Amino acid sequence: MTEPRDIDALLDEVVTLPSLPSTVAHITELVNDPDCSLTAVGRAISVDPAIALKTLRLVNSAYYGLRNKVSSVEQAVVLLGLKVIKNLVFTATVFDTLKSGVDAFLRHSVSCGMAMRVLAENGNAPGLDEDASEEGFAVGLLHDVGKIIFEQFVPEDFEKVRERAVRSHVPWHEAEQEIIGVDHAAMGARLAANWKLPGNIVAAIAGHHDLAKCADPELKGLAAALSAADYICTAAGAGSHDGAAPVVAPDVWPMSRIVSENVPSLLDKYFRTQSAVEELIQIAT
Amino acid sequence: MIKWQKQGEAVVGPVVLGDGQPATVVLVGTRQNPKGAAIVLTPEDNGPLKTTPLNDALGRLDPAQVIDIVCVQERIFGNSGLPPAELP
Repeated sequence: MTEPRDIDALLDEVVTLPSLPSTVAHITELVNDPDCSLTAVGRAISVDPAIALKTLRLVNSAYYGLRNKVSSVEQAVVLLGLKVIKNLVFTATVFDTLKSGVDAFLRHSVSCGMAMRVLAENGNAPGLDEDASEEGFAVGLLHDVGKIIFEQFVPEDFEKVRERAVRSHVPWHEAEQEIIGVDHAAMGARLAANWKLPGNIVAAIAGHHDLAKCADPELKGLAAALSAADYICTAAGAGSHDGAAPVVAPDVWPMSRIVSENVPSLLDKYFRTQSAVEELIQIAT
Repeated sequence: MIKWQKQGEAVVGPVVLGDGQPATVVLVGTRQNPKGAAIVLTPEDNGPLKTTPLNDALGRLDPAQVIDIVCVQERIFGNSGLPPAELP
């Protein structure tokens, strides 16, 4: 068992954060270059057969709802545009990280991504860029990735966290603070920063259990939306871990502009995504 | 989250409304049925029970309560493919 410590000590001594695959880093660089061509991005994806295959499965899934089957990466790039493709390749990569977790964890991550997508489309995720729904899905998908890191590098402590959260009904992130010294939100935010993800995604992950930990006050609305999405998918039966119901601070609702009267229509939209959730889980595994 | 339990064919759970009044949520059918979810207000001074359809009481609940209620109703009575709720 490790002694509780701060995140830097944990990273120095115990945890090695996974690096972003070079293909994905290269694609991100290309997409951020205003002079980059669609052909160059298509080629960069095709170089990695595993990512190319997963990208094609994703682009043909119900999530995108395209009428005609897309048979080449180049065609996918033209149809969806560079920013969507960047998120899609990123999603394919994150799936590889998440599939090492338990089934319930993958389901929770995909469901939270879908809930964030719905909130973004509904104007309930302030702080996202113009491709709000794609970025929303990415932040939801990644929000609990810190748990995977803990499970991999400090498995005994992770099991103690599970016991403490389930038996004593202590919020999961508080049990992590007690036993490991760092919670998964901080660890996930550090991973996202290492992967050079946009600052709004990093801030939302950091603050999704405690808005005060969101580094940029302007982005607390996005962290609040992520907290709401976490709560929605847990209530809908896709919680991350048995016995650990997320605790939502009262200011989450006004900050994400969610009012009680609009919740039923918001949830209708979320419920309609369930077949896409199932398909994405299939693709991920 | 609300502590739900089965009572015959219905699913019930206690809530406290925004104005502090205790009540019971009663779920008996799908979301398409306007009477599928209702709030039964606990009477003061042994007065008569007052029942309100959920949709008319949304403003007296906070968003987390509405999320709990609608999701459990869908998991018990709906057909959108959510994991079924396991209740005592």
